[in-house]
Amino acid sequence: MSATWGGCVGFGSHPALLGRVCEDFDGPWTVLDGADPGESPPQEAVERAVIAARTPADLRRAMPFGALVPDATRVCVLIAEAPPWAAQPLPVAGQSAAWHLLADLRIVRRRRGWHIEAAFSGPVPGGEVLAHILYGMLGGRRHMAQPVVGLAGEGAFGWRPGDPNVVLTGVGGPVADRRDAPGCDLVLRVTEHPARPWPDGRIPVADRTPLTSALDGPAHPDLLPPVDETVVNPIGFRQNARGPVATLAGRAGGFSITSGLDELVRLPASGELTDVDVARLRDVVGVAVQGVEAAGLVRARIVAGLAAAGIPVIMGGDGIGDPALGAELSDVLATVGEDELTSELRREEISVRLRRAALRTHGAIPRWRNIAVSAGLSLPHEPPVSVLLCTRRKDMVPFALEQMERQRGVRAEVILGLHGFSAREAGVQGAIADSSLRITLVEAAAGVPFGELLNRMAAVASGSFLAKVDDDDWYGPDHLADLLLAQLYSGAELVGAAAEFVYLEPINTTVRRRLGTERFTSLVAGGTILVTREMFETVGGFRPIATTEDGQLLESVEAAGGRIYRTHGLNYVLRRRHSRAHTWRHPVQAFLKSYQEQWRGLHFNHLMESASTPHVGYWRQEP
Amino acid sequence: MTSPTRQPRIPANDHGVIEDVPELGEWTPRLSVSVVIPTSGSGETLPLTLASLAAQTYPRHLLEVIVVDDGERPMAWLPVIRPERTRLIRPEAGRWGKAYACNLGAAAAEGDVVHWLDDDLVLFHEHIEAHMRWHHLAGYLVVLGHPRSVETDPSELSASEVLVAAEAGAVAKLVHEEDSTPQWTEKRWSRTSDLRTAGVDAFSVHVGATSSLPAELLRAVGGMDESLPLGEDTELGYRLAQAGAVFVPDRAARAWHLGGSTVMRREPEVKRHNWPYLGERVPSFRWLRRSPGRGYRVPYVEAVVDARDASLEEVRATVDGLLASWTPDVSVRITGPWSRLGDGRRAPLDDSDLDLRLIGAGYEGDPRVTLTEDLPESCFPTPFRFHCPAGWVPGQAALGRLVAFADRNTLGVLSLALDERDEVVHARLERTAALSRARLVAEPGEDLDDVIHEVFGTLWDVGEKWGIVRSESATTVSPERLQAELEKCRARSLVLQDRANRWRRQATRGQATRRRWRHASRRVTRILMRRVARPVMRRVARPVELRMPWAASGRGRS
Repeated sequence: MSATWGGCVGFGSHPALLGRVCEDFDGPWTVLDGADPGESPPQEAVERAVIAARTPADLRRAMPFGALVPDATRVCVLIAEAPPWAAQPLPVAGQSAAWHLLADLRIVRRRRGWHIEAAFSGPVPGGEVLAHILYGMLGGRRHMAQPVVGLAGEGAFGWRPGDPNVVLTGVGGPVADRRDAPGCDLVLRVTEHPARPWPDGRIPVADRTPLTSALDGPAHPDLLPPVDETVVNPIGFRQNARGPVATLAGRAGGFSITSGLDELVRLPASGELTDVDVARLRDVVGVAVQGVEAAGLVRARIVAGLAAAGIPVIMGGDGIGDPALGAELSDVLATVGEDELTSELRREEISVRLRRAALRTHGAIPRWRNIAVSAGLSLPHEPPVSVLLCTRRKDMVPFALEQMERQRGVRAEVILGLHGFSAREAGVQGAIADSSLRITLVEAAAGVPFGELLNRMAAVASGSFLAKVDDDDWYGPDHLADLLLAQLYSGAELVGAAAEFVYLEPINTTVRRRLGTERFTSLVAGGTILVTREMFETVGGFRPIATTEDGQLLESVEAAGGRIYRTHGLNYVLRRRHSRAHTWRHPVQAFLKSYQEQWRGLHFNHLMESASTPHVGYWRQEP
Repeated sequence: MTSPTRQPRIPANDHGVIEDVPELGEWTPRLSVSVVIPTSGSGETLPLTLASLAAQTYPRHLLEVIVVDDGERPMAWLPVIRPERTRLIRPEAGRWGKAYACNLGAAAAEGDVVHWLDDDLVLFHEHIEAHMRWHHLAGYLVVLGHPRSVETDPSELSASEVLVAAEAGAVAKLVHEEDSTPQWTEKRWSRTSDLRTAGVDAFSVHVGATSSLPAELLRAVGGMDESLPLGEDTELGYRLAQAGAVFVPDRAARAWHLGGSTVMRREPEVKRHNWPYLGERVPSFRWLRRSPGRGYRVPYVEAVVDARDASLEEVRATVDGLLASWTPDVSVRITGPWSRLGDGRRAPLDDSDLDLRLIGAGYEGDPRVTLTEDLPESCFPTPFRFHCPAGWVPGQAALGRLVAFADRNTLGVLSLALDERDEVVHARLERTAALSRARLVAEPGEDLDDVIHEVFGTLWDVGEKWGIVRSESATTVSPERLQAELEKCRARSLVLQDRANRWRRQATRGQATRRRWRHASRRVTRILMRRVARPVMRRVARPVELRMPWAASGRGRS
């Protein structure tokens, strides 16, 4: 049994860092970035296995290659740097037998990174320990279970981040069978010579050429490795970034993003962006990608990564049309200019549009859905959303249904709760009949507490997610889609938006408050809650009380160990009515105390896609 | 007046929003203009001015000239070379002054537009047209001409010479342009991109040498202030601004100003003369109102407190708070049904209108407080009006800060939410200029605040942030308190200064210590070198020396 095995990942562009992170092991290191999946996994157990990664993103990319880590009595995981928003790397043990042998576990903070050392009473599979640490760090056990993928070829690294359930195989196959089942549903093979035959006729194969080599045919987004939305995402987006516009430039052996003379981020030649790189770019207003020499699809990959993180990308005319970016992303990129980025609101609108397009085109889940569908596999549907819409004012029913009818990009049904009136009343019946939505009606007497009615509505809902909406607020057409997207990349059990925009009806004024968005928090606007069915049932639904039932739901989710994520507030305008029409805990002054911007009349930002009352000019708080 | 179509809505003084300003000579005039020339009659320049007016590009049938003879001795006749429709009028005996002459001329004027012109100006042939093209675009513009002073002796020029030059469009060649100097206002024009960014201060460059304005607007502000012997144009500019006017300089309206202006020649004396007059009448010139605790003819802020349904205590707290403001030129208007208070027999303590009566009685003698039944639509020419609900008291700094904030952001209305009951209880600062302009451009039935938002800006904020509190929690700072605070601060600053000095001394002492140690260490090094290192080195180096090939053999270790 040899003493120590070491594997490293992500240090390609920062070679000196590896020595600093790991002082007690001098090598030789197995570089996992370039590992060949066809390599035979190590047979012999070792005393100690060290896995060093520069960032959690690198660790996630290494996860499918866990089989290449030998069994070891001591497993050490080093993370050189983690983004500020990531949770602590506490392992979440599954059913694995490994943890039964646990003798000692130490988790030590090392500067901006982590050092995890686990000792066992016998050799355990290192890859499994690695996977469980990542589950704890990035929340939930989300990985894309379907389809089960086989990876082949040296460039396959990075195609299936965070999935421990892959099969590694050589370029020429074959895939070892699992118990009574084929080894995988689909093989992704990255080779220079796609013509090589594939021996196993049962398993379809998708061939890709390495990123840096020239393309044979036309480019399209599916040729790019996906953006790992769990780590490269808008979390931590800064609304008031004050920095300059940074520039992407080539350097020896890769790329760098610089601002003036400062090098903010160094990227490897493959253009891989990590969560730590994104965190370093949060202070820049945008990144200019103009006239960069990049081989093959690398530039498209960098741009897709930046866009998915919500960093505005300013591109030159020729780059925008790159077919590898996808039409949706190209359209948004064409609207970005340096002038727009000077206004905070415009910049955020651009950022939201970019991340939407990039995550929907280049995210790992849509990418693999596309690949699977092109290979002829059929996949389960996207999870549906049930909208809980409850009202006690029958005149608000048409307005509220209209707000839900314009939602796009989701499969949604509406559960309409009528509080104190019946669907047979004039106006209501017509509105329901006119609507193209799938509506389920729940009626309750006026005396029934609000929370109880919501629980009754949830009981008839069929979606995997429950979204609560209010009857008098305005919602942008991407409200539900953006919440689902935020749920996907944050992994939180409950997501919501910030009530940044408030229309103060008594004084006919719209204000924007600064609330801090794209972060884990314990408060979201009550009218924007989206909760997983699972968590909703875990906490037992809403409390049967008449008011503040949504605040109470947030509290119970936190108490149950769930995470709450607050996404951007550009899809939502809260209507603060006259005090005589509604019971409000906060008087109008409370909203005026801390506003950032103010408009006369009802004002919508561009993402709301509604017409504002026509008043020129707006007012910004003096610095 | 102007066409019945919608008036353009100019925000602040940004006349750049007016589109399609026609090029000279490429449009069709419609409005008539009366040029009013007040003259002392003694100068040799009036014939030249009239000659240049006789050859204007503006249509003759739309141009009339009124010469007001304000000289000591009446003028015998008008010069021969003059526009067709030229009249000479003479003030009645005993009346004099430029402002009076101007008003007299304006009263006689029949044109849609009144154009003030000094009698020492030689106009370029497009001068009147350049002014008039603006008046066809909006009905509330004050257009300023662009004269340059030249030291040319008027006797060197003859009226016929001027006429010929004007007809040929060659007035520019009458004098040497390089000898001319710009008017003092031109620097301001350049700094504010022709007053577009001048905001609420644009009026201060209103010079009456050549400026034109709609006759209706002039009537609305009440003409020139005849009590002013000088500086009447600045004061008129101030009132025009309060009436909603926008000031537009036109660099194409050129003229030669013969002999330079008094303002430029005797500036300190002119200022010394004008400032007492202007300080009384122009509250926006804050530097003329520096001394605290005195009143002025035109207050800066008119505060309005409604006494209806309010108790004596509430109204008194609010009014006293307003009067105690550190902005001294505040007047207060208490509105209420005062006429209801009869003088009939009543039981003094059981009066149904007791509170109202007591409020009235309590402010009988204060000249800054007025009791009114109905609130006049506008507080013109006071530049600001502040509505404060009874029972709410602004702090002493509040008014000054609010007005400064409104000026900085060119706000027309600043509303401050105080409390929310069925309606939002709020205080409200209104800019007279904004309200006047909104009334000028509003369509019937339109919400005035919406229009104000377009021409200036409206904003909501919370009263608390600006120090407006309920009367129960209001405090005023007495001068004694302030004095005491000041003493305390002074004492504290002395203590801190002492401490800073001590630290500085310690720091320098530290430096000295460091220096001493450095020297000492050098000394020690030297001694060590001399006493220890060199002998040791010598001993260590000896074998090396021995190995040297040229060293004498036989010596050494053997």
